[in-house]
Amino acid sequence: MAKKRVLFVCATGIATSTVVEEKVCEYLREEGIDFDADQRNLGSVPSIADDFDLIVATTQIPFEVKEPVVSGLPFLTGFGAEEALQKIKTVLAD
Amino acid sequence: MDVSFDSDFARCDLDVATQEEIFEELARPLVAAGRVKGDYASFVQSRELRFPTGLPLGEMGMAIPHTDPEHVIAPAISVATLCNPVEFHVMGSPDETVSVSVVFMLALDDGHAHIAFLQRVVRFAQDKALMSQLINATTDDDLYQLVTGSLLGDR
Repeated sequence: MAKKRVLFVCATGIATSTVVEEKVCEYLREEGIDFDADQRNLGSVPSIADDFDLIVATTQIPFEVKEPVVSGLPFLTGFGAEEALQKIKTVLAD
Repeated sequence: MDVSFDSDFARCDLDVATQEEIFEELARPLVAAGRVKGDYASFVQSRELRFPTGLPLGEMGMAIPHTDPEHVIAPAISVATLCNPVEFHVMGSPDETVSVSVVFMLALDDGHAHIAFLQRVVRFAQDKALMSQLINATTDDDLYQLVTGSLLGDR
């Protein structure tokens, strides 16, 4: 099975997406889940979304994408982080 | 950490009613100290409208308004607790709002060290006890000391 690819998105592509990526990557590593991660700004999404299996975003994605989008906000606020993580694990296990 | 936080960058119980006023008040000392360009507040406001920064933290809300690095001269933050909460839209869910009582205006540039700083801010935001102390601060200096000690100190 090909390695899953996760795209982290925020408005600028360098700020909140980095913080979220580090937290999610740490969790998934601890769970023994292997995947590739990339980080982009919102504008890049339409052209690259199809290269990924999951998008984790701290900004709304106002585009039509086939991939599931999970909010990265819980990883900033600490609220709902467990549920968000479960959702991510489910998508990646698919 | 080379992100500056001077004592006049902390405002306790700021008595304002709108986001615009918050951004003006928080930007003013940064402009005066030469950390950001003169029109910083208006760029923060317009970014906030497109990419809201409200963070719901259970019983209270926090916001981390900022704008693109090109408006920053030297990295700095200014912080305010609000006398009366002001509504901000939620980061990533602009249809939702949150009542914000703590605002951290971030003037960060592109450096990798500043991502590390943002991680500190996030960790700080998740510390309920600390957030509570912040809201209960009664003077600008109390607020200043709290933020300096916990956010900027070596933890």
